[in-house]
Amino acid sequence: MRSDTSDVPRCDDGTVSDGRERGWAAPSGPPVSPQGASGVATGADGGGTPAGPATEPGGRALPFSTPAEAAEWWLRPVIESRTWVSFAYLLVGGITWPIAFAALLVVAALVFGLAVVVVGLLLVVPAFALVEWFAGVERRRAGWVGRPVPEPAVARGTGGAWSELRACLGDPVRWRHVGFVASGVVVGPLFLAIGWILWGLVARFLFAAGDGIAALIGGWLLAVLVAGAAARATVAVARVQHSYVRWFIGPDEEARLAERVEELSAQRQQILEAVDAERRRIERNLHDGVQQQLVAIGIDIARAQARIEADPEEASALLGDARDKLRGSIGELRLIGRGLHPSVLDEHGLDAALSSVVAGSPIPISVEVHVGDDLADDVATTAYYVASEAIANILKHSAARVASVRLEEDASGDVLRITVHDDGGGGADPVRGSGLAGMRARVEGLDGRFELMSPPGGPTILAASIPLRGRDGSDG
Amino acid sequence: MTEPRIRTVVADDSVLLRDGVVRLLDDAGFDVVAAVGDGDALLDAVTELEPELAIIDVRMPPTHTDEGIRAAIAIRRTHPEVAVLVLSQYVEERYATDLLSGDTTGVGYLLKDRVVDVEDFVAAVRRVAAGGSAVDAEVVSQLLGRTARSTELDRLTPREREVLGLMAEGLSNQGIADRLVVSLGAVEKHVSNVFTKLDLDREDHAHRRVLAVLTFLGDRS
Repeated sequence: MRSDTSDVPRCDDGTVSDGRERGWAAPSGPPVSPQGASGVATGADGGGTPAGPATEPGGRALPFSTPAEAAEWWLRPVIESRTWVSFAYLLVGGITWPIAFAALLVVAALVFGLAVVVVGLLLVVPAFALVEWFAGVERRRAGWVGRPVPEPAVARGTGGAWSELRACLGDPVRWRHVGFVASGVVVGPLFLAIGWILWGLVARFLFAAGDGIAALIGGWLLAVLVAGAAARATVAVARVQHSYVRWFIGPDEEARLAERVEELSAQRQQILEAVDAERRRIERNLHDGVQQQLVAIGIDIARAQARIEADPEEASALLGDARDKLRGSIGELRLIGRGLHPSVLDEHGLDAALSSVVAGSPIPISVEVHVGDDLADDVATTAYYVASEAIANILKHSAARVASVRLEEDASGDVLRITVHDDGGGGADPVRGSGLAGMRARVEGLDGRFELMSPPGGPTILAASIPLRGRDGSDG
Repeated sequence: MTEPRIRTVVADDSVLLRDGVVRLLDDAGFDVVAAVGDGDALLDAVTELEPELAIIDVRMPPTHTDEGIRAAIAIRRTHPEVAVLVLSQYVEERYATDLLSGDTTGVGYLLKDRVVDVEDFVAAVRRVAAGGSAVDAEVVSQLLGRTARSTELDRLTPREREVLGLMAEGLSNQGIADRLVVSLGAVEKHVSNVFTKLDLDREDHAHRRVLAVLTFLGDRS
């Protein structure tokens, strides 16, 4: 005989959790093993280890060994708070869902009735809002018997009553919620009935009319027997209703994941393009800059060699030219290397790295870095890149007289803000300047945001924010 | 007896490099009559000054892609008596073939790196100015590496392969002899063998046999 396993709380996805979730009391009484590991997991892998009862060594089939223990095990759900919470959950649902349906009917009647007079149209958005409110309440209430149901994304208008109306009418998610309310008139009472039906039996046995002590005691015994089943049924049906609510008005995991995949694909594309543009820029810098310089140095040396005996002074002068050019090439290579990855960032941190970037600047640029040392590598590198690119742009294009760079964590400590300000001529265009597009791609690739305010005439403010935690977009 | 100085125009948008090449040519006895930085200025200078030689960088403003090649081809069309030597950052086979297809009199394609080997560079420049050809060794080695004719090439001895390569670069027999430090007679024998083994039409003029060899090597059939 397989005992039902409803005494071990199970989450919707089939894994086993300990009973200590919201609203659940830990099972009281001596630890009792679930009926074999396979009984708990029902086909899935063993799931989480129940933190409550330990598995009996040997995995004995029955969780009790004496009749007294058997009785205690059977009747325990009757006194557990979980049972009565489920009871209440079903009851409230059974009452409120039909009421909600009635309200929906009234509103619908109003809307259609008054649609002719346009007033009806004005009621549509509030009606949907009411539906949303009710759905939200039901999602939270579902937390009584399981994990609270997360909110799905609903479409909103972009501003203005008309767009709000269109968003409501065109949103399949909102209509689904309407369907939820509409079907609730039948489903709510149905769940209540099924969940409570055995209690009716219990009551009948308890108050059975009959003569004699024997009948009375018999009735009580039967009542007690059925009570155990009734309690379990109540809990089970409540969980079913929880799943129903989650399925109906919870988030559409598939849709959410599909959206996220699209988002990530777009980000990836952006990053690939930015990396490509970077590479080409570096190649150009190397070829047009450094390579030319090296060939010119080679010419100087060759000419010096040709003169070394006939005109040693001229040869010496040429070699001096060669050294000057060499110094230029070395400097240029250093700049190119910094663009690739600055070693000073790894060794001495953001503050030192950015200070060295502004060190040679002809205009005063203040650097304020208020971040901890525990910044993730990719965040630090991106922050450095954005700031140093911004500084390079300022020096090259803006004709500013003063500029500032500020890095800080926001109040919650969850977001890194990068702010670069200059009082130059403005007019920076993130679409045209490939450096700016690369910055944006990098920042957005870390799920950050990138804003550039650069009106012609200036001043220019660049603001980027990069989340420091929970970057995979999961909702917890 | 002074040789007439060859009137030359240099076109390169990098001031540093342009300057270096000008001085180098000056040292070598060329008469640099103009040094310009873009394709239009080059064409103007050639029209006005009628030089004998133009040394042109492949990449110039505005797009920094192939302005030099296009200018070179235009000059070959409008001023066929002007010898043209194109300098490139790296081997661009497409440009090389564009330039070298057809008449290879007085045309050359070299890597900028070659400039540093001043003697070889000047020799190549003189060769082109005199109506010969100059094809960068790198281009030749790429062609030799990728050619579909490897079975035929296998018939050649290593020395003959060397000679073939130098012929492809545009060197005359004397040039090959100097480079390999052998006698002219030996070179002539090798050349003869190469033509026989590869079944090529005999070409005596260096610039024509460049074309023959390059066509042979570039054959994709």
